[in-house]
Amino acid sequence: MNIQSKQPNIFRLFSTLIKNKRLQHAYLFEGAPGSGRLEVAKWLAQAKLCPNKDENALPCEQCSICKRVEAEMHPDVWHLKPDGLSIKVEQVRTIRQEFARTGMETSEKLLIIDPIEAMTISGANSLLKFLEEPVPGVTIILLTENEKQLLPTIVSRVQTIHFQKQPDDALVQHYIQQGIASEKAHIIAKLTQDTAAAKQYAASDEWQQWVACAWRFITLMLDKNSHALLYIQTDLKNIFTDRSHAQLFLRMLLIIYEDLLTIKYHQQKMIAFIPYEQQLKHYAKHLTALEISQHIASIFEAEKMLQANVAIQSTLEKIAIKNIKTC
Amino acid sequence: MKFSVNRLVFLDKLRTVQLAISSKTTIPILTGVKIEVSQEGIKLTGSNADISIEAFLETTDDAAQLVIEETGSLVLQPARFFADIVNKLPDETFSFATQDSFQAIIKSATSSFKIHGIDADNYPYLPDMDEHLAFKLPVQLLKQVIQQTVHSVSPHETRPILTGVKFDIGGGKLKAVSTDSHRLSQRQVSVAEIDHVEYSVVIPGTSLNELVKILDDELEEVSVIVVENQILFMTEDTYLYSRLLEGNYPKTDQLIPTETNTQITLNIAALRGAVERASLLSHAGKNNIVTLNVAEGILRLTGQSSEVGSVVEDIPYISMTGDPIEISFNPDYLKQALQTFVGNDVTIEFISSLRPFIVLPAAAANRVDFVQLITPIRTR
Repeated sequence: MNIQSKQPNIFRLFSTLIKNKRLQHAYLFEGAPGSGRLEVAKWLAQAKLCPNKDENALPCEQCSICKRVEAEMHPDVWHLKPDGLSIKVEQVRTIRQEFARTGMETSEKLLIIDPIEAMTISGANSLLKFLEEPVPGVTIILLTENEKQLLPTIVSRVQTIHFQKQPDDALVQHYIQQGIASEKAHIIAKLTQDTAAAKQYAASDEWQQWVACAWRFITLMLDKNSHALLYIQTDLKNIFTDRSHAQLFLRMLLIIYEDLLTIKYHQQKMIAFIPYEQQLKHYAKHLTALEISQHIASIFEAEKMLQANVAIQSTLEKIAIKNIKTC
Repeated sequence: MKFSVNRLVFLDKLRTVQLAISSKTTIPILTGVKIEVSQEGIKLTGSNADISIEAFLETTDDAAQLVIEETGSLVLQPARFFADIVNKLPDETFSFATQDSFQAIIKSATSSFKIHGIDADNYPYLPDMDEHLAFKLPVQLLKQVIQQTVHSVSPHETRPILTGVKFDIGGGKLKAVSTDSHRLSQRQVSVAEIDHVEYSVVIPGTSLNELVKILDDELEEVSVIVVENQILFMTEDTYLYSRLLEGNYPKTDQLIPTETNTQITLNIAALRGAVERASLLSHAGKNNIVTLNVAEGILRLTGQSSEVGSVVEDIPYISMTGDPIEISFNPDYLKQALQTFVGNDVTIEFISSLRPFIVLPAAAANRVDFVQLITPIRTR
C-alpha cells in the first residue's frame, strides 16, 4: 500500500502544501506504527530534494536522490532513532552540530525523529530552541504514537498531523488477502498496521506461543488463581528474550481485556480472540466493569515500568499480585 | 571497471582521502571510499559529511603506471580495510576489476582478493562547482593565516558558530577571525588576486585542520570556490570540500582595544619559557591561573598551586612603558597565542587588570592585521 491509498487525506493535504510551497518548518506526525508516518516523512524529504519534480512539484521517486532518501542513505536527511531504549544525549549533540552546518549536497535538510517520545526530557528541551527559531532550509518531522505523552512545549511549537488508524475490519480483510489465517489476522490487526510486521508475526512460532501464554495468564488471573504467579516463574519469564517482546505481550493482554469489554456491552464490534469467544463470554458475565478497568490500569502501569527498565519478571509479577488481590 | 596501477602511488592517494573518512558517520556508506574510473584516470572520494576529499590519479602520470581497461565506479567499505589490503599486496603494481553484484577482484602477483562493494550510486553527491567562480590564494599564506587563528575556535557546541573561523574574502584582503569568547585571534593579509570577489564564510575549525594537512608546502597556489553550502579548495590533484557553519558570527571589530596604558616589548622565547614553567604549577591547581605583575621595572610572572607550591619568574624584557599593572589569566591561552608569531619579539598591550590585553608583533603598524586577544580572569 502506498501513502496515497493508505492516507489519502494526508497525501492530498501535503500535495497542496508542496505545490504552493507552504510547508512548515516542523510537523508532528501522530499515529500508530504502520499508519504511514515514516513513508510520508520520507516522501516529504523527496519532495524537498528531488531534482526531477513533476508539474505539481511532486517527487519522481525514481531518481538516485529519491532512492537514497527511501533507503535512508541521504546525507542531508537525518534519522534520529533510539540507540537502545532512548535517544542518547550524544546523538542529540551530533544533531545539534548538524544543525549548525550547511547541507552536504544542497542547502535543504530534514530531520526525522522516530519516535520523539524516545527522547529524554533534557534532549527534548535542547530541541526546543530549533523548533522555536527555525534554521533556514531545515525541516523537522517528529513521529509519535501519542501526542499526549509529549512535552506541551514541543507540541505547541509544531503542527500536528493525525494519521488515522485504518478501520479494523478493513485491515483484517487486507491481512487475510495477504495470506494470513483469519484467526491470526484478527489479533494482528489490533497489534500493527504494518503489513510487513503483520506477516512476520503470522509466520513466527514465538508469536503463537505468546498468544497462548497471554490467554493462559489472563485466565489464571481472572480466576483469582495464585498459580498465575507460579506460571510467571515456570513459563513466562523464559519466553521473552527481548524487552520489546514483553511489550508486545502486554499489548496482547490489553486486547483480551478490550474483547471482554466489547462482549460485556454487547457491541456489534468484532472481537480479536475469536477461538476463545465462549470463555470470554463466560468471564464477561461475571466481571464488573470496575474490575476490568482495574486490570487494564495495572497493565498500563506495567508498560511504564517496562519503559523504566524494570525487569520483565517483576513487572509481570506485579500485574499478577495486583489482580489476584482485587477480590 | 578494470585498471592496473602502481601500488604505492595509489596507496598515497588513498591515504589522502582517508583523512576525511571516519568510522563514526551518520550514514554507513561514508565509512567507505568511492572509486571512479574514467578514461582520464581514477578519482577517489572520501567523506565524513563535514569534509570530503577527492584525489585524482591521471593516466598521464608516469609514476602511476596507470592502465585503464574499463571505466566504472564502486564503493568499498570500510576504506581502512581496503587500504590495509593495498598496503600488504606483494607486487609493485596491482590490478583491480569489478564483477557482477558489486564485487571487486584485486590481484597482485600471486595474491588475489575478492571484496564485496556497494553501488556507487548510493554515495552522496558533492555539489557541482562552477570553476569560473574560482579565485586563487597563495598556499603558504593561507596555511599561515589558518594556523594563526584556528587555535582560538571554541571546542564547545553550545554556540556552534564559534567552532569555526570567519573568513572575509574580498577587496584585495583576506581576513580571518576566531574566538571562543575568552580569547580572539585576528589575521588580515593583502592578496592582490582577490580583488574582484566578495565572500564571508565561517569554516569549521576541524575542516581547516585537515586542510592544513593536505596542503603541500611545495604548492604555490590553491584555487577556492564558494557556493551556497560548501567551500572547495582545489589543488592540482586533490580537492577538499567543507561544509560551512550557518548563523550570524558576532561582530568582533569593536572588541579589539584601541587604547593602552601599559606596553611591554619582549622576546618570544623568553616569555614562552616563563609561561610554560609557570603553567606547570597552575595546571596542578584547581584554577589554571597565572598572574603577571608589572611594577618598578620588573616583569614578574607567578603561578601557584595550593597542593604543590608556587613559582616566580622574572622575565627579561626589551622595553616597558606606562602604568604598573597586575593581571591574571589562563597561561595556555598565552602559550598558544605565542606559538603563532614568526618574529623574535612581541608587544603586549594592557589597559587594566579587568580588560582584555592584546599580543601584537613587535613594532606592528596597527592593531588589526595580526592580533591575539586574551581576556583576564578576575581574582580576589
